[in-house]
Amino acid sequence: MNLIKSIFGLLALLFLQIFILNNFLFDGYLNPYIYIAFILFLPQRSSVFYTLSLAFLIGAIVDVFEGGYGVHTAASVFIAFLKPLIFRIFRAGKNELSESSDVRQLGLFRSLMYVLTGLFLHHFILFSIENFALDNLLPLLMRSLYSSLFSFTFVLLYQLWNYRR
Amino acid sequence: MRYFFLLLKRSRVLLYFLLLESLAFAWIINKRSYQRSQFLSATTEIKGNFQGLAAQTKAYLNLKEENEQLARENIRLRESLDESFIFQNFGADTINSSTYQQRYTYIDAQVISSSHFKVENYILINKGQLSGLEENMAVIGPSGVVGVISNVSKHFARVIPIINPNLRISAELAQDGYFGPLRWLGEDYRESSIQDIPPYANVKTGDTVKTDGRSSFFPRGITIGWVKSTSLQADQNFLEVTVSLSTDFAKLRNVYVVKDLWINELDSLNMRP
Repeated sequence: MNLIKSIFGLLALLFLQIFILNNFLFDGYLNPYIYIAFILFLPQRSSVFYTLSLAFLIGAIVDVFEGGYGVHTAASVFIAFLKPLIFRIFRAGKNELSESSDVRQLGLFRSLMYVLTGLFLHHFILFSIENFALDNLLPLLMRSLYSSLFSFTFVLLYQLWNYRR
Repeated sequence: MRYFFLLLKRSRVLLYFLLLESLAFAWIINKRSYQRSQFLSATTEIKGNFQGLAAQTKAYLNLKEENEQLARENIRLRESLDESFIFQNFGADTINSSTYQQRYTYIDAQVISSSHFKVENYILINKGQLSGLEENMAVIGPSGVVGVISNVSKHFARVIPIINPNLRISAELAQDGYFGPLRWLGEDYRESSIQDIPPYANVKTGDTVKTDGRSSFFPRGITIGWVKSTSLQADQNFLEVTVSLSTDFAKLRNVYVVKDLWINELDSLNMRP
């Protein structure tokens, strides 16, 4: 049951990303990419191989539909690899309660910061790979920051909708 | 040997990560290969079917603006019709009909998806091989140059617009006649720039920039945009002219594909040693 639920959630995210968000760009800066939230919200217990493979698959699907040629795949695999590290940083100072859920472990504020950091890193990596150079770093950083904040609001809305069901 | 396997086992996550990343980067780097164009025409078909639906609904919302734009274009075309000119010929002349041969025909099409904020932008249009479209045909819009067709599938075609750094076309300054390659620098979708204009050219701001007959894609004299500013190139020998583009890629919907009826003749001449 849980599996079906998360598959449905993934499909909903991908649908939202490919057919709605990809078609609407807000000002030059804002390209929201929310599919990475699925990777970030995967339980920390799950195996790293599983996370990496799933990230590869999701990135590849977005790439095929958006004409990104592996850009999204590279970025989302990278985030899947970094995810345990980011999580550990935000968990610093809290004692480990392996049974409870990730949000319960971190607390609300730290969870939000964790997601925001993940989104920012993803956008930054994505845009840098797209440019294939780091020569104009400041516009790149600004663009990542604005886009990740924007994606963040979408992720919040999505989570609210998810919890209500 | 045992230690080697132990090392492998320990770093298996890292190795798997590196494997996936290298696959992704191989994909990125190979994107200009032959396989890519094959793959593209297949996905173009699938994606086109999906996005055609979205484009249809969007087209209804923009009907008013589109109508105005088309009406303006109609006026311009009507003005250039024969009946808009007074025929004053008091002598008896023969009309040599062979001097008025048609060279270009146009096929109209609608944009079904496009991007203008990326570095490599592409446009998808709703006509393909079945409508007679081929690769390397020019695409123009109601207000000027749009781009060149890069891939065609049965019902759809993919256009490289002039706001993609991979496309270079030859552009000409209308007043002076100097020409140079038009190349997009990847920043603003409303601007592009022409390189290699001689420094003694008297380039005026606001001068019209047009396609020139040297490019084998475009008919001569189609508007690209207007001169915005000029600056000395990095090599200090030539001028670089910034052009504000006449086509607004953010609201492009109706386009015309230009079919050159003489292309075979031209190609056979170029082929000859």
